[in-house]
Amino acid sequence: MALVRVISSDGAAFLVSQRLAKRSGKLKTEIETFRKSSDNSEAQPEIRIVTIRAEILRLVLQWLQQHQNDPVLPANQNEQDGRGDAEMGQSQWDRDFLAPMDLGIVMELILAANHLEVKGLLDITCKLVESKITGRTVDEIRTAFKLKSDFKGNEEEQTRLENRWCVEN
Amino acid sequence: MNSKMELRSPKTTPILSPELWSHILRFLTPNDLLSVINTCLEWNELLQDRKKTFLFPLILPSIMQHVDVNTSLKFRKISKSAKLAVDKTLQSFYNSDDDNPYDIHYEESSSQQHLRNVVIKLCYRYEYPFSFLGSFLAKVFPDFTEISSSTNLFLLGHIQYTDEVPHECDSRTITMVNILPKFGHHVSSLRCHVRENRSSMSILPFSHFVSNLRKVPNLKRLEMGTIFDFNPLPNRVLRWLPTDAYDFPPLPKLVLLVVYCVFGEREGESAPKFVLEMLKKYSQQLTAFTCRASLFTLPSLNLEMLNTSFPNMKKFHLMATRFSRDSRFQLEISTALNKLSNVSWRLEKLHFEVIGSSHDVLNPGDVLSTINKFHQSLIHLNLGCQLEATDNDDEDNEYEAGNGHSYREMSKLKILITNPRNLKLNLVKRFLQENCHSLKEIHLPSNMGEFMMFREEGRWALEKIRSVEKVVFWNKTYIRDKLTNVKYTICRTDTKTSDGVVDST
Repeated sequence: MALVRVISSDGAAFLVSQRLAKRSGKLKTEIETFRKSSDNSEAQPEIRIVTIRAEILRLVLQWLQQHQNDPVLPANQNEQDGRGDAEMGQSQWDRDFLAPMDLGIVMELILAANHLEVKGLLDITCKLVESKITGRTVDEIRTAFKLKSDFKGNEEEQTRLENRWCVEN
Repeated sequence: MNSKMELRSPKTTPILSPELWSHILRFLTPNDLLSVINTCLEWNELLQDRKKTFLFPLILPSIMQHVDVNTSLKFRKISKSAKLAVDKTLQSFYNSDDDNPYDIHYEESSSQQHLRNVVIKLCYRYEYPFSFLGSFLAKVFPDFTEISSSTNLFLLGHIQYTDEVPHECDSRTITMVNILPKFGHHVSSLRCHVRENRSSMSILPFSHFVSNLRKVPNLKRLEMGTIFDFNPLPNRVLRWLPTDAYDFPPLPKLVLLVVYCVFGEREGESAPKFVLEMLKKYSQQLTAFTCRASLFTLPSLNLEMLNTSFPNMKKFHLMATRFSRDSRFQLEISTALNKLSNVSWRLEKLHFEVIGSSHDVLNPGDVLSTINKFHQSLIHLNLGCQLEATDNDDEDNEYEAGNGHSYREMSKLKILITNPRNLKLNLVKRFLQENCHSLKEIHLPSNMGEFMMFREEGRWALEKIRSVEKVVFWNKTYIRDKLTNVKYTICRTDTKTSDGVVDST
C-alpha cells in the first residue's frame, strides 16, 4: 500500500495511505506534485502542513478514515447534488464525533478542513457553528464567542444604518 | 496551566512568565495568533481562553457560505474585526476578476452560489441613481465632509451611477462630483450606464466619464454601456461627445472591461472612437474583456491590433444581439468569429452569448472552428447560444475544422456549459467525443418545462465521453411564486440522481 507522511505544524508525523490522503484536495495536489518532481516512483511523499497542529490534524485524518468509502466528491461538489449534504448526509458517527468538542476546536477544524479542502468536514463543522449563531442576537453571539464590541463613537450606528440600507426595499 | 511555570518560546527567546507572553501576544492579529497556537502545545494552552475570540473573524468566510444575507450583515455589528472580515469576504467575492458576477456560475458549489447571491443582492443596493444612494449616505453620514477618507462608504467597493447630471451644489451635498475625489480610492468596481433617450442631456454622464475615472485610481472592473442598448440604432448615445473626452487616466489595477455599447461601422463617429481610445489605453493590462460582436466590425480593430493589444487576455465574452435586421447580425457575428479565429490569445475561458432570439443563429462549424483555435489553453467554455441545425449535419459528413485542417484535441477543456439543444447536433457530439478527452463537467441550462427533454443527451454525454464525471441539468421554475434555479445531476461514479434548489430570484 502506497503511503504518505503528513507532518503537523508542531512536528507530529502521521503515516497514512495515499488513497486516504487523496480525499483531501490539498493533499492530493501535494502528492501529485511530489510524483511529478520525483525521479523515484517508489519514494514516499512527505507533506508538511505548517498551519495545522497535531491534535487537529489527527481529527481530520480520523474523519477521513471514517468516510473513506464515501463517493469521491469533485472539489466543487455540494449538498445540492444530494451527496455530502451537511444535514441529510450527517451520520450518527459525525454527530458523535463532533459532540464532545469544544467550540474552539470546532473552529480550528473549520480552518483545517478549508485549508486541506475536505468539503464534507467543512460542511458539518460550519453547520455546527451556524446552529450556535442562527436566531441569536448580536449580544448573544458576542457572549458565545467571548467577543467584545470595540466600535468607537457612532461607528456601530453607522454599521446599523448600512445594514438597514442593504436589506430594506 | 500553572501560572508559576516559566515558558520558553520554542528555540531562542529568553524566559518570560505566561502573563508577559499573554500581554505580548495581545497585540498580534488573528492570523498571527493562529500561527502561535500551531507552534507548540504550551502556546496553544496559553491562548486557550482567547481562541474563540480570535478565530471568529477567521472562520467567517466559511460560515458566510452557509447563512442568509441578514446573518452575514449581523456579523458586521459584532466587532470591528468581524465587520472587516465580512466586508473583505464580500469584496473579494465580488471583485475577483469575474467577467460576469451577476450570472449564475454553474461550476460553483451551492454554498459558493449562495454567497454570490448574497453579494449580488447587496450590489443592487449600490446601483441606484447616485442621487438616491446619496440620500442614504447623507442619512448614515450626516456630515460627510467630516468623515475620514479612509472610511469606505461602499460596502463592496462597487458603485453604479446612472444618468446623474452634474449640477450646481454646495460641497456638503452628496453627489458623485463631491464624493469621488475623497472616497474614490475605495471603488474597485464601477458601472456607468446612460439611459438612452433622445435628449442630449442624457449623455452628460458619459462626457464626465473620463474625469470620473481619474478619481477611482484603484478600479479593477469597469463596465460601461447604455441601459436600453437593444435599440438597433447605433451611435445614438456617444455621438456628441466632446473631442477632449478621450484623455483616459492610468488605472494600473484595471483587469476587466465590459463594453455594452452598440456600434455602427462608421469609425469616425464618437462612439467607436471613444471605445477604441479606451482600448488603446487599457487593453495591455486586461485579462478579461466583454464586448458586443459589433465592435469587431470596426476596421481599425484589425488582427494586428487584436494580437498586439491584448497580451494578457484570459477570459473573453462575446455578446451578440439579434435584431430584426438579420443581415446586420450575420455580418457582425461572422466578422467577430473570423477575427477571433486568427488571434493568438491564450484564452482560458470563452463565452458566446446571443440575446434576442432563441432560434438557430450560429453555424456550428464556424463556432467550433473558432473554439478549436484555443485548443491549447481553453478550460471553460460557455455556449450560451443555440447552434444552427444545418442540412449537412450528418454523421457521415466530412469532419474537419475548415481549410482541410483536422480539429485539434482540446487538451485542457474541463467545463462545458451549453444550450442543451446543441447536444442534438452530430457535429457537436463528434467534436466532444473525439476532441474533448479532458472534459469533466457538462452543464445544461434550460427554460421552464424543458427540463426533461434533454435527459437522453445527458446520458449520451456520460456514456460516450469517458472523462465526464457529471452532467447537470439546470431548470428555472416557479417554487412558491419565486423563480428558482433547480438542478438535477447525473454522475458517473454512481447512478444516483437528485434535485436541488439553488437560488431563488
